[in-house]
Amino acid sequence: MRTANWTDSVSVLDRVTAVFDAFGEQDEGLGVSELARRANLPKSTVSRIAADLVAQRFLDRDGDRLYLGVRLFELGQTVQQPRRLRRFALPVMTELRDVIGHTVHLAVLDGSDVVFIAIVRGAATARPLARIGGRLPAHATALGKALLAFSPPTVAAEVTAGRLERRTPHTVTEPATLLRELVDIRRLGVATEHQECVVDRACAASPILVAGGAPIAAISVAGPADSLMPDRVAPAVRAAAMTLGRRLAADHAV
Amino acid sequence: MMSLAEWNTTAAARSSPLSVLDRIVAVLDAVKESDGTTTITEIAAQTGLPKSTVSRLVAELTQQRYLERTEEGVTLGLRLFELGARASLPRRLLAAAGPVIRNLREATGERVGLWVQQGTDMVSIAAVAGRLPMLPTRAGMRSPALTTASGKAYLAFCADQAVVNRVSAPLIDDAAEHFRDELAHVRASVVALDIEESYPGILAVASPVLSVDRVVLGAISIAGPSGAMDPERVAPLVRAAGTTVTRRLAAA
Repeated sequence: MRTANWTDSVSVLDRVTAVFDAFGEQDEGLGVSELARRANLPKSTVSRIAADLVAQRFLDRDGDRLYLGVRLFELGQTVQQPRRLRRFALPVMTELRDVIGHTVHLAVLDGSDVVFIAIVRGAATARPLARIGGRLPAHATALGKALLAFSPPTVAAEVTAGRLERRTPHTVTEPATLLRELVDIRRLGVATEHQECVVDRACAASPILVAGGAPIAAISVAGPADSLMPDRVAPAVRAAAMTLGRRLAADHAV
Repeated sequence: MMSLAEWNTTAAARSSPLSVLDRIVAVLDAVKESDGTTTITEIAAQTGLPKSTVSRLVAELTQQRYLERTEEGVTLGLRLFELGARASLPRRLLAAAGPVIRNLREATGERVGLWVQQGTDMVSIAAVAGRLPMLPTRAGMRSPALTTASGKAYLAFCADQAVVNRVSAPLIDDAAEHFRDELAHVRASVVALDIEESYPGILAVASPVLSVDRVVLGAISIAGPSGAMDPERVAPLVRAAGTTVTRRLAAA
């Protein structure tokens, strides 16, 4: 009985996760057939799971299109780590944006990706390069490199053991080169990104450190490569990261 | 006394709370309700599930990052944050309403909220604090649809009578009739009021947000101290805000 239940719950959760992930970064609504194709599950299975998820409001249905549901938003807003980080970070991020004039990001490391927790836009017309809740590969971003440089060596080793995706001709894809760069970042306290993730985009990032532990997040300034010089904004980014680290430490609830 | 046949029918019902998905949902809700960190024992007590079952579900949910284990216990995980940030309706509403919320906050100085309907509640999509510091101003929080201005603004324009009936089920006789009249009034004025019904000393004014094909999606509201905020003065501002969000959604 115990074994049967266990196996059962694993497969249900796996299928639910496959359905959620099938919506991709931009949830523009999907029909059951497309959902089944992307989740790599039989249409009848997806149809049944979708009906259950709609009943629980984890998915919303509009005609024959399905969307990620409001209940996920509700749960997502309650997740403690991003909530606390945002509360402390937004004033610091806004100040940094006002000083530099470019878009400011806050992200955490998750596996070999960074996940964006908060974004304060520069000019209202600035094209957003990331979304809250979105992911980018850590090795291709200043945010990710700042986080990797200050994490235990095993974390970077795990990332370099995997495939380092070439996002642009400038992406660092050689493990040895990346590891050497992380040593420099550790010394400087700031990571830079020169068109390594997106062509024509530059970025400087610094880790949020509390009491010598692993970094809990990183803050960055990003903008067009022709107007943003990462080395010039680096001191302001580093100062903002230190301010945020101090405030989080003072709250002593990190 | 129930016959054996009826018992069997009940047991075979598809919406049995014993389904794996229902258990998963119950565990996630229990962690959410703890508003921070909780323990296996507390989740078991809250859900009525055996501790061994909770323990297995938590392990699996943690492995897939729906939950996270910290030194203090079990908390909601980053995957829920990611999925929640992608959810279509809140994302579209937020994109359309962002500048409108800021303008309304600047024009009135009061707390501004954006809401969608869920079950018998309204769920906050965005909240900007005003001069009422004591009000809960966090996105993701719920308020009852029956008494809040946003709830009444939504229900007045809701074409799904089943939703209206479910929310207004607690009302009987005169109260039910009064509520129907109030919704008719909201439909005519496109503004709903909550005069200290939900929270003592607090007045709220809300207007609906509609989709391009005139389906109600949510409501925008402001809340302030009932003695100091004049509903007559702010009603046109809130109505204009609702209309503007509706127009911006159509243009998106």
